[in-house]
Amino acid sequence: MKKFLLRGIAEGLTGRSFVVALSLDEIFQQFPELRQAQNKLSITDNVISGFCACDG
Amino acid sequence: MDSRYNRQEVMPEWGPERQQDLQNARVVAIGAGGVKSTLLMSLVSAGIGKLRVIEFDRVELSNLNRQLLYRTSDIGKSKALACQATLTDLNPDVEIETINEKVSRSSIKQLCDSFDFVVEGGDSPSGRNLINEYCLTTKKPFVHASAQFNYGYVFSVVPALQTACFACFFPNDHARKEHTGPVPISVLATSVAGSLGAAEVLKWYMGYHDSMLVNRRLCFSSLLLSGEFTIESQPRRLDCPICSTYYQPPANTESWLRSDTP
Repeated sequence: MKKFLLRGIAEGLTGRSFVVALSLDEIFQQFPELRQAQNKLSITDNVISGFCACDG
Repeated sequence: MDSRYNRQEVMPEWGPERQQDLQNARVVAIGAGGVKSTLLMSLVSAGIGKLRVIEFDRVELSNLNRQLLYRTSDIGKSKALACQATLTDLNPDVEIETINEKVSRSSIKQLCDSFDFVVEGGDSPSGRNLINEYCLTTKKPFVHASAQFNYGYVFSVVPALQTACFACFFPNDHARKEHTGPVPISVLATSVAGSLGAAEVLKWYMGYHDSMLVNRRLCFSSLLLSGEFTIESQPRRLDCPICSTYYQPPANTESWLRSDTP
């Protein structure tokens, strides 16, 4: 198991700052809202982050 | 001696001289929502010289959790009028003008040309792209501060120094036309982003250009969870479809170079 840190929009969508999971796929299965926002996320090592402009 | 600014003028990095420099500031802000509430109140409290705010919306109940410019009694009123009242009451020494209008490609020149710093605030990709291109054309610096959920970020663009533009930061966003609608947002994030954005404007006028957030952005993650502040580097993208068309040297480089030769 690995600890993944969630930052920015990943943190906002899940309400968590970290998730312990076997893989990224497992995280995306657990949080489908993250998969939907995948094009706004950058993934480096164990950090899943994204900082987007506010549309209103 | 008690004065409006004495608590900031006593700071070595601020001082009466830089306070005087702020008097020369001519700032135009697009929008007066959540981030801009704190940002504009900070600029007006700090004592900038002149501020124009362009805002076309009306105050709604759901604005009041974060848009500190407005009160419950303002619901239904023009934001431009309510914003003018709040800011003028906050500091009548600042020349404040509000315009109830939406910035468009046909109006942006008339609305912004007499100001020398832009606080960007488009609530859609097309609005942000318009301001980005206007500033690249006119070589005016601008700050972009944004917040969603409990996170946010800020960066500045200084076209005269050919720094990374808005589209360099969001290479997949500049072609997106429509906004996504209301997003979750709290006063924590808007206030922090607004303060960080105001700092960029003050740095410009107080001579702290080297400290400005260009070619990088300052991000903060959820203020209720991790609460981390990080710097993300973003050099100018040489293949950026937007700024690369403005930053290129004149076509006739040979003669341009020769013109500098004695």
